[in-house]
Amino acid sequence: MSHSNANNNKIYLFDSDVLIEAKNHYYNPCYAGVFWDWFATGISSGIFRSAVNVKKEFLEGDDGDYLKDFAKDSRFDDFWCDTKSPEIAREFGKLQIWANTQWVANKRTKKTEARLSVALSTFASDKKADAWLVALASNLQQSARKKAFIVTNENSAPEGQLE
Amino acid sequence: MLPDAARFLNVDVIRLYDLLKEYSGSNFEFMDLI
Repeated sequence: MSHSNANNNKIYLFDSDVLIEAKNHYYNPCYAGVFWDWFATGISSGIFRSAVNVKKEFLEGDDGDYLKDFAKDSRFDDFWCDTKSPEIAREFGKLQIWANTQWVANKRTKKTEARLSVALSTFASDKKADAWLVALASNLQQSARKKAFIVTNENSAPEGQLE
Repeated sequence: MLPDAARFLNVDVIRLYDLLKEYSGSNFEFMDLI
């Protein structure tokens, strides 16, 4: 395996769930070390990145957890992109307005109200990375002229439904 | 929610499996990494 066809203009930002699911299921480090070698090569090549907010999520894991150890490993410091900039905060703000207006439209019913409130507060939380990751990706596309992709297992919620 | 948010800011999303295919060559098989 290689990243020989890597396009330097592309950058892939990993959400937390995709790595957690890989660790827990398909690519458990106990038997899928090749996957994690591939992942590390992508990091050293500069095409795999994530937000420091994802690192914070991993650091809250149990001692001995593979991803907690990964988050603490200084060899991968470059993987974690800082999100404390006015430009990224502005993108984050756009997302919060969008979530509380457009995203909730057609989703708000008596049945979904409670879950919507939880989803919106989670999306706005400093402790959850999703919105920060999207804000970072948007900023990278604008400031670094990179084509940013978010690597995720999440699917869009159909109209009228809530994930 | 994340894919919808990404779309709002014109950011594409990709599944891990598709990324693996893209950066693992034409002979990629899902089990190659195990």
